[in-house]
Amino acid sequence: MRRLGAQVAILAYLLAMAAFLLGPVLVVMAISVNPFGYSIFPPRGFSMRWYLEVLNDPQWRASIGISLLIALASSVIVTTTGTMAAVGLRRWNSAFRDGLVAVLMSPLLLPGLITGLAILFFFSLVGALGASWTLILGHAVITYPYVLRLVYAALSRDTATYEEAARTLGASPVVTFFQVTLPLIRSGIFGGAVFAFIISFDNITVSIFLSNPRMVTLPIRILEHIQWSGTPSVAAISTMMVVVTGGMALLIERIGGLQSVFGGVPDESR
Amino acid sequence: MLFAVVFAIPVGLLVWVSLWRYDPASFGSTAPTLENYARLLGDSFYLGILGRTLLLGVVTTAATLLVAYPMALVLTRVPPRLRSALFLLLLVPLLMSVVVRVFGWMVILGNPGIVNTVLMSLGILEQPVRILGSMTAVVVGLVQVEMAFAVMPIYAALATVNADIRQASRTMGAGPLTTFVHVTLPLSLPGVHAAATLIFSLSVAAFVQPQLLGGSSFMVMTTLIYEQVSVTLNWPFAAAAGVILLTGALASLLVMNRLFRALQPWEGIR
Repeated sequence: MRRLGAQVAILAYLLAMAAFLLGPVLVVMAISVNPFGYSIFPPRGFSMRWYLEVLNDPQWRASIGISLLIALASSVIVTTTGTMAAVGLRRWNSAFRDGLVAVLMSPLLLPGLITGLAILFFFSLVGALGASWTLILGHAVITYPYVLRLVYAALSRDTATYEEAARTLGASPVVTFFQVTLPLIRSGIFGGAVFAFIISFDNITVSIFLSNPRMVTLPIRILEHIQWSGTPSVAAISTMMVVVTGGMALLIERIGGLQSVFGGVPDESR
Repeated sequence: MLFAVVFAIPVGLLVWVSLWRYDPASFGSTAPTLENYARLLGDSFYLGILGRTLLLGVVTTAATLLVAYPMALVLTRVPPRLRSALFLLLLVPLLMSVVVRVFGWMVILGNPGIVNTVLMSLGILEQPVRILGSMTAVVVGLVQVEMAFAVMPIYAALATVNADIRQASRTMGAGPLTTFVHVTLPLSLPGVHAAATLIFSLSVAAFVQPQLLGGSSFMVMTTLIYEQVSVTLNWPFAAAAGVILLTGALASLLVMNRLFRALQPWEGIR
């Protein structure tokens, strides 16, 4: 009897946690289909009105395009340079390497807003403020650690042994890299690219300082919209964002598991 | 290598700019001055913001640990399939935009919001209470976003607690509660420490939650920095506030270190 009681308590706790963790997003989704001009829950009626409104609004469309472009460009830059850095870092002696890795990882440790502030100062000092590429480069700086960590983790396995075997059998360094190393670390690179895309697409703390009236990223426009207006169109665009990032999350889970991305815990069930 | 240069300087840049004199006419003078710090630390208004930020960190850390510890404990005791599902439940919300989730909380906690509507229809409340703009709202928003980061390290620590040790304690006649308080909990403290460090750092650095859920009536260091940069355009003062935030957070973490070391007197022996 006591066992049963404990199990009921655990189940109740887990259900409460599920509601707590998923509730806010579900509420936003529910609001997005309500036909009225204000955010109301539970929804009364069903309408795609706010989705059409968002998709027909030039400002929302511009922000969607800008955010997609920045996320795509920065994740391409970060994935290529990050992979090269990870491969190169392996060749150096350990003391220097550890120091360099620490420096490259520092945006993970600094508060996002502080990094954003420093990036703003930097671009201002070099006189580049307002240029569209500052957002791409700024996002590259903050997503770089994630790619580096994922590719580096993929490399640390048995790649060196396979590379050595390829070299012994007469393959040139270039052939070895493209035919042996790259296929071995493919999932790490791909996971890093997807993760960099998501981080950039959702970023607030860097974009908020680098955005200007001509270039407002999607999360910043949502933030402003929530603060000043608050029509359910923001719920519609939020739902679309959730679908994009949620789909990508499933993609990562398919490839290698979300836990490895978060530097998490080994899971024996896998 | 270019990226390394970009990273190595953010804090240096911050300190440098914080020593400038604010001059609305030009960008800033080069003669170093400490007046930004004097203004920050000599004014009870700004000291209050710093205190509120650190208090928010402490309260959020305590709340998150209370919610996350049972989850970590449950994770160690459930079959692998359910564990994978629970991990997914914890991690998927992490990939949803913070703005979206905070918007959900605004609808839930607002006025008229879900919480107020439910409490009033149940007759518990006569008048709607104002939750938005209070510390409660910010803490709720932070706990939801940061919970997974607390569960991971605690779970990792709990997973290493040998089942044999618990069994031994039970065999010696200790009840489940005694075993938990005297065996499991102390052995998991390193994980709790890691979680607390992470959650505190994330909480004092958070921007979106205080900005949207706290508003102008609950100003913290990050929202102060943002206001100084975007509204007042006083960059040196914002930089000084950033340095103070980093210093304050670091000092708090050192105190926390001390506290946890006092809780684990055997750490040196083992």
